[in-house]
Amino acid sequence: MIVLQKVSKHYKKSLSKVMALDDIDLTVKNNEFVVIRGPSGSGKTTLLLTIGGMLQPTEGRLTVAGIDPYHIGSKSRLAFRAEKIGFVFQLFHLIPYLTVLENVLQPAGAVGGGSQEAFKTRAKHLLEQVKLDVRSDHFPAELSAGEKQRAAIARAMLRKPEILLADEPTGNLDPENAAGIARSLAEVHRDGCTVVVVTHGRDCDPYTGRIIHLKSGRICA
Amino acid sequence: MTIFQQIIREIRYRKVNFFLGLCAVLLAAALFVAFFSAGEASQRETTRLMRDIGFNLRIIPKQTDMQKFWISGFSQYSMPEHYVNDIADFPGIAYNHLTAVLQKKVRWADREVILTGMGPEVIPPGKSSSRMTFSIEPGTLYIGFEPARDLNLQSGDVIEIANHSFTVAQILSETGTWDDIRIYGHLKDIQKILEMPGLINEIKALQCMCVGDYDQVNSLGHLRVQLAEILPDARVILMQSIATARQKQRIMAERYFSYIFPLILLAAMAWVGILGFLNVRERRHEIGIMRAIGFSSGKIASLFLGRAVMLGVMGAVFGYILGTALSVKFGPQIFQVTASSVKPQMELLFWSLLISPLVCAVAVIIPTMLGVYQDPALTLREG
Repeated sequence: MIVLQKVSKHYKKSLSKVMALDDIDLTVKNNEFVVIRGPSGSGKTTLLLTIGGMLQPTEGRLTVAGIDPYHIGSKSRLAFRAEKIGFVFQLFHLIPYLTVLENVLQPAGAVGGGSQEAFKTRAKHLLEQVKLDVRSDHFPAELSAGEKQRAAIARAMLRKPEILLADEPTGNLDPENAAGIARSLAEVHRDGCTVVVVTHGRDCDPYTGRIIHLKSGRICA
Repeated sequence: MTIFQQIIREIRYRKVNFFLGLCAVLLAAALFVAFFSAGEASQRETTRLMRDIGFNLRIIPKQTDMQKFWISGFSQYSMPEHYVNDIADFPGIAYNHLTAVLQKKVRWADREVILTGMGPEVIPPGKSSSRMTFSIEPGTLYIGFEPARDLNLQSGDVIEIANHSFTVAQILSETGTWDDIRIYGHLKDIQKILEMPGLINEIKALQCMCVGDYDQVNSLGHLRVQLAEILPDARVILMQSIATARQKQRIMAERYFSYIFPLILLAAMAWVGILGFLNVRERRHEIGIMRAIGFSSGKIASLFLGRAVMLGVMGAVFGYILGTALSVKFGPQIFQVTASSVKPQMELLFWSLLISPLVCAVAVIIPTMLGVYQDPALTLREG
């Protein structure tokens, strides 16, 4: 479960104060598929990174999977991100010199726990799920944008996170690939993961239970 | 995948960046190795020259007024002739040639000449050596260019000086120095002419040194102390030799290198640092995603520092090979005396392997820290 209470995030820019998030109250239940939609600069990505333990809010409290990631030590926060959260970004952020399989296996080396063999088996299984098993030895530069994003989803799911946070996962894709990624996220959700997707598009609408609109850092509906 | 494997994969992927860094480290290491390989030969050559050549000395009476000495070219005072034998007989001093000399400016045939009496050369027992000075028979003279020309003297002529008759043995060719107004004779004859029996005013000591003290310019001081013990009324003047010139040249080269090498090292560090900064900047998304995945700052930093250490190790190895090859190829041409001592020195590989990775790691610390501590939220949001 994700719970945000009166969460605000503001940046100082010269003499002015930019309110990226303004007094956000939000609860996302376990195994919910939530879409957060809003125009550019509305604070969608800031909200996602705040939930993911990567951007400390200026005010308010939040708990993610029962943990307040900003009131634990840095080591615990690393473990929290590695074990509880999976990230998917618009630009995929695959490591260019590693193969698809090695990219998917990256989270295995982040923190301890789990055998390398088990991770490898799971990585192969995930690549089968996203239909990239035949591309496992390829490098990111040899993949299409849709394939890269599917590889990124597989990477995010390696450690079986409770929550998958996706930032514009279909933003760089053509409609066909975007639909495919939305389906992949729906499969992740079906497997029991809480999914929060920040997007402009409507590709995920058929699979979501709730759409939250964000404008100027505030939840509109 | 281990950190090491990931470093190797990244190096293979970004070959140009790594190669440019490697060039800088390799050149610095090669310079270091080449200088010290050749430096060893240079030092040995100086030592050898010192040993072989020794010091060329002029030993003159202690009370000599040096201002007058340098103006006239000889001392106005005299010292006992047996000083030559005192040096020759002293076991603590080695020499190749000792010659007693008596010289004095006199008026003869309406002109000023320098009468120069040369004693027989003293050579160490059992040692055959080529003569360094004239060997003048008693009753004969060697006439300098000027008086010979003015008086139209020829070999075989008989001349008279202070009521003593001499046969001209040789006319000396023009030298353009004081020697052109000299008249050389046997020491005993000149002592007779000048009425200075048993006296001399200079000993020329060639290749003279203290036994067992071969390799330092400071040995001159030691030699002076030794000579002062044997010849309390004498003073020693050093004539610059090839050995001392070489020693000075080497010291100068070392001083020069001590300024140049840190500059080269700093330039290589700056270059590696800049390339490290570019590498970190190019990989900022990689750093961001690794932070998001849960990698610690230490693990991420180890990717960059490990890469720098690998750069240093490879630079050290290839630099050692290049530097050694250069010194082996060109060293013998420069240091001909000790050509055989220009050879690979394994301890330089050890020092290269110690210093080079350390320097590379230091060079990339700042870019690494900047990369590791940049806000991943910012880089991951970049479109």
